[in-house]
Amino acid sequence: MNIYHPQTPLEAVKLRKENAETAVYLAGGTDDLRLGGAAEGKDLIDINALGMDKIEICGDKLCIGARCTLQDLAECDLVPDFIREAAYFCSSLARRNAATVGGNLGLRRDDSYLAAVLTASEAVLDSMTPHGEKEKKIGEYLQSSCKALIMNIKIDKDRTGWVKRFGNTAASHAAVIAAQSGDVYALSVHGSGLVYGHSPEIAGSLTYVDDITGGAAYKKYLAETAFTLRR
Amino acid sequence: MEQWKCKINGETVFLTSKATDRLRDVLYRTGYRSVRDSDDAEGFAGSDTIIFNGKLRYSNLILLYQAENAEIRTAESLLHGRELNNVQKAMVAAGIVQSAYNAPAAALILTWLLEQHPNPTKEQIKDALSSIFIRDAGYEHYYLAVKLACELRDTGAFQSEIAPSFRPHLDIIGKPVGKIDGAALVSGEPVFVEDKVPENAWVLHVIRSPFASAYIKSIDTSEAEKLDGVAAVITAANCPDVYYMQAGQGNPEPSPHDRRLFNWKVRHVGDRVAGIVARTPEIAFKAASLIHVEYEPTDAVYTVEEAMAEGAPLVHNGPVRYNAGAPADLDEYNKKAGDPREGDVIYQFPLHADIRKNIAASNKGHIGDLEKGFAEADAIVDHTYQTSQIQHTPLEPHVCYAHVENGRLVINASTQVPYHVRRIVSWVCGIPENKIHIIKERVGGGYGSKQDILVEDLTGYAAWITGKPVYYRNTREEEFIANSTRHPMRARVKMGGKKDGTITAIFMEVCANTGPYGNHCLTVPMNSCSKTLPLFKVDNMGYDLKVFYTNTPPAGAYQGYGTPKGTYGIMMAMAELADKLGIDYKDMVMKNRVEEGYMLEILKGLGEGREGNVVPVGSCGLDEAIEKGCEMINWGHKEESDDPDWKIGKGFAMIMQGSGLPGLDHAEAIAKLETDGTVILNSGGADLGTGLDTISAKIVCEQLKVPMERVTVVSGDTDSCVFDTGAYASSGTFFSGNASLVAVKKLKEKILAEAALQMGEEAADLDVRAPGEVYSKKTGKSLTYGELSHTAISGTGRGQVVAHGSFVTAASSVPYGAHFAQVAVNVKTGEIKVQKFYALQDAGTPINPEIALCQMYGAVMKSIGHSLYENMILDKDGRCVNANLLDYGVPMITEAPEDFKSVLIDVDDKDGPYGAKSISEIACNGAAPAIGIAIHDACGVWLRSWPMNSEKLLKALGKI
Repeated sequence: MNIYHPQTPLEAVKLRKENAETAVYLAGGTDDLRLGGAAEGKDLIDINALGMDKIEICGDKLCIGARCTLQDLAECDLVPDFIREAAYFCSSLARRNAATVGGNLGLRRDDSYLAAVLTASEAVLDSMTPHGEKEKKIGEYLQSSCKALIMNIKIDKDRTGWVKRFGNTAASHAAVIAAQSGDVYALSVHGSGLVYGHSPEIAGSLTYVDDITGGAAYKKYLAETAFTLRR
Repeated sequence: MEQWKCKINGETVFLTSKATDRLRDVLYRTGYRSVRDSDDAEGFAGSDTIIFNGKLRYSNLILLYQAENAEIRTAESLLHGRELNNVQKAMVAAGIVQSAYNAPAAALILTWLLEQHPNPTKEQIKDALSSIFIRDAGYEHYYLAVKLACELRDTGAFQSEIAPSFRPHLDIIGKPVGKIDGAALVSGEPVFVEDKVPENAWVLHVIRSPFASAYIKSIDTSEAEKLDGVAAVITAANCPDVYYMQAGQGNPEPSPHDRRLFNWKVRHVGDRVAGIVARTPEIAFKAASLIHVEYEPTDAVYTVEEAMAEGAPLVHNGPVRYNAGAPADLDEYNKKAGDPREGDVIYQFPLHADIRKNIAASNKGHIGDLEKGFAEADAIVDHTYQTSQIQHTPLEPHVCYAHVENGRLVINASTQVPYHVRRIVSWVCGIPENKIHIIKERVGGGYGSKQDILVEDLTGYAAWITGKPVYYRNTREEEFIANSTRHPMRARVKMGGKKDGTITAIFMEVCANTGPYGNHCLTVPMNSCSKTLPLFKVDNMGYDLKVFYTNTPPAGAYQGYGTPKGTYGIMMAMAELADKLGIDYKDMVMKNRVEEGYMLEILKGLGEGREGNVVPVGSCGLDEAIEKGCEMINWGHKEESDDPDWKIGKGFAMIMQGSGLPGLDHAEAIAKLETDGTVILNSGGADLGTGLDTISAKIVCEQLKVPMERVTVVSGDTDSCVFDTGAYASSGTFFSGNASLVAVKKLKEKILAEAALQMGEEAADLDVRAPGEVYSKKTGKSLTYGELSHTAISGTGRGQVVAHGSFVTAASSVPYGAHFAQVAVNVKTGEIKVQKFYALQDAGTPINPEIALCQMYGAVMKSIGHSLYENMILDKDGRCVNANLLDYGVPMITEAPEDFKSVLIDVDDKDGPYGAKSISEIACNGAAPAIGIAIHDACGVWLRSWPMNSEKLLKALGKI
C-alpha cells in the first residue's frame, strides 16, 4: 500500500486520475479503513493536509468544508438544525469524530447520513477536477459517477427543513432517509439510491429491492409514507 | 519498519511498525493492553477506543502514520501508580465491570466525558457511550457510575445508594462491596487469553467451507506443507479418527458425537476444511491459497420445515452407534447408511433420534388428560411462535493459546467449562487428562457460547502434534458462521381456558433447528418446555419436541437455553387466550401461576435425557414480582400519546429458570489457610465475569470473619483446582458457591480443631471473629489465624490447615420473576420503542446485589435485541449475509429503554448458599413476551416471530 500526501486539491485530483484503478482518497477513514472498506488493497491519497475543515458563513451561504467531521457539523450552531440532526444519524460519537462530510457524500452510499438532507437543501458542491474548480448541485453529483474531489458544500444559511431516518437500530444501515426543505424532497433508500424532486411523489420513481435493511415493499411503503408524517 | 513519534499518555514514544499498520495493533503490541479489538476494525464495538488529539476515536480506523506527532491517551493513563481513578472506582462499585473486555475503554470514555462536562446530563453520557457496545451489564448502571464518580470527586465518597443490601445479620453477603477482580479488569491488566500469547507463537488458520453441504472429493495440501514456516496442515485425511461433540456438558453427554476435528462432509458454510499451523498469519494465508479442495456439493436444508419434508436431503446419514441403550433394530437401521464420507453418529444413550429423518433428538410427554382438558375449555388458542437465529456476540471472540511444556499440553482458554475442555481435548489428542493443563483466563464475554469447546479442540491438537506454541482467534465473521448460536425454534402452543380464566390444558409442540451438529440438541430445546410449563398450575399439560439437523451455522447454548423461546410462545399464547376470553391477562396469570408447595408433576419427563425429579415449588417470589411490577407500570391504566400515530401498550411475562442441574451438576473447592493466616480458595468454578469468584471470596469472609483483601480465589485451573462441571445452566452461585461454602465450613472446623490443640481448650468453646482470629468464649484467650497457621507448619505441627468441599444435590432452587414492558408503536411507520422496562426477579439472597442488577440489565438488553432487532440472515445458499456487528443489529445505548429498572425480590432459599439462587439466565426470558403482549395492547396485532420489527408490524397492520 502506497500513501500519497498531496499538498493541494489539484495535486490530489491528479493523483487520483493517474491512479484511477488503484488509489482512493483517505479523509476520516471510517468507511475506507473499516473492515472490507474501500481502502482494502488500495493505495491511499491522504487529503488531510488540504484544509477544507471550516464551517463558516459566506454572505448568505453557509460553507461547510468537506473535511469537517460529522461531529463538527452536529455541534455547529451555524448549521441548520435539520442538517445537524442528520449528522447525528451517525450514532457513534467516535465515528462522528472521524467521518467527514466529504467522505460521506463522496462514497455515494445509499445509506449516506447526509445525501438526502443536503440534496433537499439544494446544496452546491465546490469541487476540484483535473481541469480546475467546478460547482455542481449535490443531487447531480450524487447521481453521477463524477470523481471530482469535494472541497466545500454550500447551502443557504437560513435553510429550514425536515429529515427522518428509518433503520433497524440507531447504528444500523438506514433503510430509508427522507428529507424535505422548501419544495425539494429527497429520499435515500438502501439498495436503491437517491431520488429527489419537487413533489412528495418521488418515491414512485425508485426500484426497490429486498436486502438486510428490509423488504422492497417495506421500504417502498416508508418512502411513500415519510412525507405524510406529522412533524 | 519505520519509527513514528507520538505522545502516549504524556510520554514521547517511538512506535515501530509499518506506516499502514492499524494503530490499534501497534498500540497493543507496544504494551498498551487496554486497547483491544472486538470487531476486526469494523468501527463499531469501541474496545479499541482511544483519545486521539483530544477526541474519542477508534484506533482500528487510524493508520500508524496518521499518529505521527499525535497526542494519544489510552486507559493506561487513568491509573495513578496502581490506584484506580474515580471513574474506574465508580465503575467497579456500580457493578458494571463484569466480563469487562472493553471496560478500560469505557472508563477512558467516561473520564474524557467528565473532563469535558464535569456534571454531564443523561444525554451527554448517552452520547459518549454511543461509541461502545456493552453486551454484559447493559448501560443503566453506567449512568450511576458517572454519578458516583462525580460524588467521589466532589465529596471523597460515594453518596448514592448503589444497590439494596440484604441479610442485615450478615457482614458481607448481600452487600454491594465491589468485585474481587474489578480493579484488574477495569484497569486493563493483562488478564485475557490474548495477553498470555508470546511473540513467538505460531498461528492457526482455518480454511472454511464455502458450501452448506458438500463432500470433500479431494484435498491437496502438498504445496502448502512445503512452504517455509508451515508446521502442519490438518485435514480430514490426517486428523484423529475420534468422534466427539463440542458441547461442554456432563459426561456422558445428552448430545450425539457426530463430528471429528475435520470431516469428509462439510455441513455448513464455515465448516472446517483444513487447519494450518504457520509461523505468521501471512504465511498461513499463503498456505491457504496453495491448498486445493475439490468439493462435491449436495443439497442442503436450512429450516425445520425443509428438514422434516419427505425425501429431504440428510445432514447426517452415516452409521449410528450407541454407547448404551442401543435399539434392537440398529443393524437394520444402519443398512440404510449412505456414503462412507458421512461419518458416524454416536449417541451416549438414546435421545429418540432418527437421523434418516434429520431428527437429532426428540422427547414428548404429558400429565393429566389433554383431550379432556381441551374439551372442558370455553376457548382455545392454537398458534405458532417462531424465533430466529441469534449470535452471542461476546466482545472477546473465541480465542485459545496452547503450548507444550514439560511434556504436557497447556491451554490458556476463555471458557466456561475448563474441565470439559480438558476431557474433550484429551479425547481428541488421545492423551490422558494428567497430561493436560487448562488455565481459564478471564472471560471477555461468554453468554453460553464458551460452554462449547469450539476452538480449544483444534488449537490444542495443533500444539500437541507440532510442539509449537499455537494461537487461534476467531474473526468476528467466524463468530457468526463457525461458532454457536441460539437455536431457531418454532413453538406451537395450544392452550384452552374457561371463562373464569382457568387454564384447562396446555400443549407445546416444539421444533428446533440444531444446525449441522448436535451440540445441546436436546437440552437447549427441552428448556423451552421444562422452564415454562412448571410455571403453570394446570392439570393437563403436554409437550412434543423434535430437534432437526440442518445446514445452517451451528446452534448451541445461549444464556437461557431454550427458555426465552418457550416463554415467548407460552406467555403470548396465554395473553391471546385471555384476549379471546375477554378477561384481564393479569387475572389469568394470577389464577394459573404456581405457588410454593405445588407439586410439579410435569418435571417427571423433563430431565436432560433421563427422568426428571418431581419436586414441589420451593421458595418463590413470583407473586411479589407480579404485584410489584403491576404497581410500578400502573397495570390496567391505558396510556395515551399526544400523537395519534403513536399507540402505547403494556405487557408482562412471568419467568423462571433453574439453579444448575440437580443430580447432574457437581462442584468442588479447596480452602487453604496460608502460613500468614490469609486464605486461598481454589474453586473449580469458572467465573465468566459474573462475579462467581467474588461470591466464593465473600463466603470465605463471612465464615472466617476476615476482610476481602485477605482472601484470594483461584478458579478454573485444572491443575490447582478440583472438579466442577462449569458455569452453565445457572449453576455458578448455587453449585460452585455451595462447594465453596462446604469447603470453608470444613476449613473453619479444622481451624477450630487445630486451635483447640494449640490453645489447650475444647473446640466447642472456640469461635472465630474479625479480623481473623480464634477466640475462646470460655477463657477469653485468642489466637490469630497467622499464629495458628505458622505453628501448624513449624516443623512440629500437624500441617497446613486445608479443607476440601464437594457439592451435589437433588434440590432444585428455582428463581422466578416477572418482566414488564411499556412500548410505543407508530401505526403509520411501524416504529417500536420500548419506553419502560421493569425486571423483577427473585434471586434468593443476591450475594453481589450490584452485580446481580447489572446482569439483569445486560440480559434484558440482549433479550430486547433478540426480540426486536437481531437476526442472522442466510441467503439461498446458506451464507450469512450479515456476519458483522453493524449489519446484524445488536442494540446499543440508544435502544435501551428510557425508564429501565431492575428490582431484586427478597426471598431466602433454603438450599442456596446463604439463600442464593441464580440470577442471570432467567433475565433473558421475559422481554420477548412482555414486548409482544405490549405491542398487541398498543395496536391490536400479535407479532408471532422474532425479531418483532417494524416491517412485520406494518404487515400485521395490513399496511404492506
